[in-house]
Amino acid sequence: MFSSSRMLGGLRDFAFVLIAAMTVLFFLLRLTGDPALVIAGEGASPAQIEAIRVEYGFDRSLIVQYGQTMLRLLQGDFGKSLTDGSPALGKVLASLPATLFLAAMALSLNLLISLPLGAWLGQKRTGAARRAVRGVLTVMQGFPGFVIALLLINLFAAGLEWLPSIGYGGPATWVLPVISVVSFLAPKLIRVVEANTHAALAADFVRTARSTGASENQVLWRHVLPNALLGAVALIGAELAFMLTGLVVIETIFAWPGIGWLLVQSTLNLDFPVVQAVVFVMVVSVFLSNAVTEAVQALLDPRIRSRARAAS
Amino acid sequence: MSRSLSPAIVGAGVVGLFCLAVMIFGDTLSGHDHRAIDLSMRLAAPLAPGHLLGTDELGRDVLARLLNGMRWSVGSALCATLIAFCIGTTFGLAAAHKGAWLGGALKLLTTFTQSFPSFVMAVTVIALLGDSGFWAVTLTLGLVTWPVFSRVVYAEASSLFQREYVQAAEMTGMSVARLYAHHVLPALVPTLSVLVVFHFAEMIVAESALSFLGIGAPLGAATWGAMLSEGRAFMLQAPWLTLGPAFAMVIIIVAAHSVGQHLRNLTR
Repeated sequence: MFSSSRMLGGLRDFAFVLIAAMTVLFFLLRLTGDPALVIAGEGASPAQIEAIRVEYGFDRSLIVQYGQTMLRLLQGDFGKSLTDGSPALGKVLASLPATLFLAAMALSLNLLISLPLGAWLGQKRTGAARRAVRGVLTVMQGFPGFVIALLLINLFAAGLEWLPSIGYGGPATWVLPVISVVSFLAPKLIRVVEANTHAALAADFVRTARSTGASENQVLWRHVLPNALLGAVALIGAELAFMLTGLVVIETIFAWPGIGWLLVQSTLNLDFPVVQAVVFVMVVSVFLSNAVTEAVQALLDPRIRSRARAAS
Repeated sequence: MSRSLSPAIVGAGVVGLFCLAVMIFGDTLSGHDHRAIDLSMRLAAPLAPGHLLGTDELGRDVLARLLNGMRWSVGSALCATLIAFCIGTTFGLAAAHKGAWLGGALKLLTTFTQSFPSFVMAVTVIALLGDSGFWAVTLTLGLVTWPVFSRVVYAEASSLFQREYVQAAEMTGMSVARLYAHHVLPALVPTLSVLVVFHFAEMIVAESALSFLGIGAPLGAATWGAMLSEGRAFMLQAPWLTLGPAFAMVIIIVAAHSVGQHLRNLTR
């Protein structure tokens, strides 16, 4: 199903992006802050700072340090957190489940809402109910995710006191973060499913199916919806990749202990090894999510499969 | 699609004119200085005498602060969009016109920006530029987001350069400048105008998210993100402190979206 040359090309691109990300990150971080000052802590004498600089090798030239860092990364050694001395990669892997959990729940709920709603909207352009739903969606698209999160906390946690506002405990703490994420991802997906359903209904293959005597239900389930879903897979993949890197603000608002929150904390604390490990994990997870998206597309769409075969 | 103006586009026009007035006059429109502290009027509710949208915990006028934040956010988003547009369009056109390897580089770059967290990029670039001011944020936003434009321009222009009339123009020896001015750029205008408007809305969100996290705007500045962040402490006592900037942002974004939608319908 997957040609080996395509997979090799994908892996080569992945390796390049990973190396580029770690390189850019190294120089950006080193140019903005001095790790020796962070390790020494406040109130350290210049002599102590100098000693730390020599001990960690920060006194050597930036290029030499870059080479050493990359060599260590190659061996899987991400170093230790500058703030608490625990292994940097371990810290990231410990917060990864919280992010994956949030992403998985948001993705499932998003699909459960968007696919039927989008298909329903796409079947007709008229009707009061459909027009009302479209109006609501237009307004919802104007709400940034973190504003929704703040307003939800305002209403349900501070005002009505129904739900806890922050933290990561039982199901009650999941509700608000998941709703915040879904309510700004769903309108986009609904719109795409709607447009694709509408386009598929006007396509030649639907006319052919109807002329051979297929019932409206058969047309919808066998011909229209599969095509509408196909077009939505790319967006679902992009939304998944976004959730793995982009939930920085939402996780911060809800004090959700995922990698986005860890990224904010470690960046603001100049905890370089942890930032490096977070970015590494994010690049890997975006690559994996893109690969899965492409695999799903190929699985669902015979045209992509045959194009891939022709190209190899 | 009828040619008559929809209510949405009229509303967007009103919002646009209001934006323009705020860009010129700033917080003077509210009759208050956004920095003026009045401890006798702390946390006054909206519609209090002299304070249409109430005051914050230091008695500063919320409307004046909102208008000041609008100047900052809209100005920053406009300039960031312009920067992203210029870099992205140039790169996308160059890749589509001349080059196998530029196209490959563009694909890699897109993957790179998709997986490299923009938060880290923003924090470090702002720190590198040395001050947390208007241009540090604006430049960062523009420099981080331009691949959005290059990707779309590359896709559109690539198919354009395959068209017979463009190839014919190239073969008859039309100068590059004339080729672009007469055949390439006009064909890109519909897509680009829609993209610019939607990107502007994204930039409003991105700028506010940064200043919400305390990055970008100087400490204590009245920006929408900072107001949202400060208002969190008073959510129960004074919900207008968070509702004000939240709805200001939503109004601008919905207005931008309806302009974008209108442009899209016009060109279809």
